[in-house]
Amino acid sequence: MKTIKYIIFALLSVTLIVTGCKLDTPTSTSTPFSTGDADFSKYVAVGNSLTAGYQSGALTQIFQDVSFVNMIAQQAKVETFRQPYMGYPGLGVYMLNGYGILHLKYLDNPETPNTVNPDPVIEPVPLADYGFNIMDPYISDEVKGWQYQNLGIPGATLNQILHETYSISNPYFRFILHSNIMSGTPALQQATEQKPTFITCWAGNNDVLGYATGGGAPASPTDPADFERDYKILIDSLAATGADIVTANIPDVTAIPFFTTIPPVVIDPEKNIPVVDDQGNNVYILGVNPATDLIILSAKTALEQGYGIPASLGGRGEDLPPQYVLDASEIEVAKQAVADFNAIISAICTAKDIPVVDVNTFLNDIAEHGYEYNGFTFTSSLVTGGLFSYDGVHPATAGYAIIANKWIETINDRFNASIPYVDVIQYMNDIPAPPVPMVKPIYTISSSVDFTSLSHVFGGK
Amino acid sequence: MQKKIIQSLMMIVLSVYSVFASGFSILEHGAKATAMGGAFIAQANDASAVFYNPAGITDFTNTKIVFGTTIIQPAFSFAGPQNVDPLLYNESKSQSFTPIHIYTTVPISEKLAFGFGIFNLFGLGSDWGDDWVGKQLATNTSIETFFFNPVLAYKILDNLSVAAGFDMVYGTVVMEKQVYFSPRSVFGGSKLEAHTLGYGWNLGLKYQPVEKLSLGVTYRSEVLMPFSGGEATFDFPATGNPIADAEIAAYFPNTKGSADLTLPAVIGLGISYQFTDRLTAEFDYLLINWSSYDQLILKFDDPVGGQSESVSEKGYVDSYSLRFGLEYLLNESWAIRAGYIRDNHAVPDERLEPSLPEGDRNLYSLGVGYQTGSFIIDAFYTLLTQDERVITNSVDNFNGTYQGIGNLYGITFGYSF
Repeated sequence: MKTIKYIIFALLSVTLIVTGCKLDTPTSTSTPFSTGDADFSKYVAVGNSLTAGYQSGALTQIFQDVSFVNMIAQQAKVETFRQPYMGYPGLGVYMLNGYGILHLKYLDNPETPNTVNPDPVIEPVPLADYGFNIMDPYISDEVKGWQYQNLGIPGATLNQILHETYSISNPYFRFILHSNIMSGTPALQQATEQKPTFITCWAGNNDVLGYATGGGAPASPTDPADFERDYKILIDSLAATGADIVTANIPDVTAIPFFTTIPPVVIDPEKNIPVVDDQGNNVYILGVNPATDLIILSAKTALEQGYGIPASLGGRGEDLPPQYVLDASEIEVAKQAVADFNAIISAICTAKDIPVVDVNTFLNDIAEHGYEYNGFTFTSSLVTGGLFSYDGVHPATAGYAIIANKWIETINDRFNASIPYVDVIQYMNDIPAPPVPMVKPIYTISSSVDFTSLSHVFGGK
Repeated sequence: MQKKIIQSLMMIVLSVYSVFASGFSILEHGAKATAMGGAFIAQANDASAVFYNPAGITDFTNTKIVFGTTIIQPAFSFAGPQNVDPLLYNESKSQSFTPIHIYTTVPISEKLAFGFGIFNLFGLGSDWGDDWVGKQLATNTSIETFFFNPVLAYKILDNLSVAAGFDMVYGTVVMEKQVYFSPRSVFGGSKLEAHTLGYGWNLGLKYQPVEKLSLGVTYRSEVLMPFSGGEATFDFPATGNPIADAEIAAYFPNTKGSADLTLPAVIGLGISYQFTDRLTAEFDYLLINWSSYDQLILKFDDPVGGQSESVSEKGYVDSYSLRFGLEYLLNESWAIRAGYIRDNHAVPDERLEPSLPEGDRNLYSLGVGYQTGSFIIDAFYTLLTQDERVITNSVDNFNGTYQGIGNLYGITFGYSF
């Protein structure tokens, strides 16, 4: 039969005079690039860790490269957009313990083979493996000499962006602002002095995040009156440069995996599934109202040490300490702070006709429904969701790409521009490989890592 | 070791693409009928009647055998998706499909006739390449079905015949796309390849109330295709991290996959009228019961990503097809024919995806027939144009504009003993 088919095929191919009709290829097969009314000749970014490109508990060049502001700069074809590139494994939350960025060692810990649900092992990379010097964290001497256009400072509160030049507890001020105890200018001043033509400004997250990640302690969220005063100074100063400005509001801090990963139930450490009592009911962690409270990611260590676990299940029989729990009233305080700050941001920016990217609504929607992107559903789940990095607070590369697109959407809309969207799929795949460790460590540190220290860096002061 | 993994990871692996719908129906099962837009239920006056309306074969006084093929060259494009660039133009790779048809009809007595047909009722495919913006939805998809269809037809009255037949259907599907392993940020290829046998039946009726007027009714049952033991294979690139590679190998084992697919039932009604000795016209209406395809359940023998079953909502809607055909006899040897088909979509907007970029379609046909002695040759050309389809509510957030076009060339040879 095949032969006949081929003969027929050949006959037809030869004899048919009709040449087939073809699809009309459109005249333009992609949107022509244009920055419209926006002037990107000098782009400066002001903000905190989100602007800096902080991921998985540290700031390091391979992920600074994919900061959302650098993506915007690339999409807008900005010629020079310099960032304070840090070496690998990065300057981060575990630096005093001798560690850098978090990485996923195992999706499922091989030391606990009986777990029903996989128990991922996320651990920080030793600084010593790469000879990383926390006193000189830059990736090269050349980088040290630059004036940075990315002035995002991890941990910086709104007030610190305006005024802080040096912080004993936050080394980023020193390394990003080139400051020391005696001298240096704050981030806002460095931004305005560069005579920018375009500014992105995403500030205020740390004015409530530190309260939340600390389990409602120690500090309260910034007072709204102070926030309003400082935000007005920030926007007035930036607007005085004459630059085009885009800002964003503050996402609901309780919608991140840092607060949603650990359930309020006791987990069987051997099987990694919830323990059930004789009636088949879940057993709740002591000191937690399962209906309302959120347990922070850093509680993992304390839970493993038996805090919050009933004595009958081998625990200490004590409540989980309150710094690991965001209870209903604390959640309310955090949500109220976000609402207050966002109202202030909206009012001040609207008065200046400055567009505000509504990241809050966007991320809340993603937390609730996930984010469909051309065949993949991103969720706010840690490790598998694709949106968040391993610290549970900061986006992963694809998450930053999605956020960059949200900004680009607003920029295009406001400035009649057609800056192409970031190809999120590219950033889902092209995750840079970490550098190969040095063969001989310069020094070794053997202190153990404590997840509880996370809150210090996330919380700023 | 296989464990459950968080659901979001698996949704993508298990979501199964559309393979059967109007876009993958082959309408061309005989060059004479196709040249008349497939409007042939009421006429059914050559051996392709085995497919179009088997009741027609009681009119033949001698044994006939015909065979032929169609070259189908579809092309699809997708502009978008909106979340990347609304104007980004993606065109599927050019492909050719060559469904065949073979029929024989044998008069057993004056009233009883036997017929047998082999044809490819569903087929075609789409190939967008392995690295395009919709690669997580579909890269390469193809399906082929061979229908083996014996029929018996009986002449109840001089002007009324009925027929019944049995369908044995051999089907193969190949579905490929890229899947994402989010914990390790890596894409890999997935391929499902399966074949199976299914069974169905068909009925036909042909009635000529007056000499020049002919009516036909056909029914072809749904066919359950119990694809089981299909090969599910995964192909991930090495990540450079042996631990990650081991995880990928554990979570994406090459395994067997099973899914029941149902080919829809089709009801056809036809009316033809012989206006003059030379000119005959026909109008057919077909209703295709795609609404039976509301969900697809895929099962794996070994869990993939920790899950062994998925249910994909399909929510197809019934589609219908309107067909008009004309035949004009130039002389005893030559006939010229023309036809038009309006075919409606079955996949609702929100479920449309690039594996099956279907839409409402117009098919314009022209053909000729030549007869000398016992030999017959029929040939046609059909241009298929698919209405531009703008999707704004895709469940995959894959919104944009689909277009489609097809060139079809067919030829059928026949011999009467």
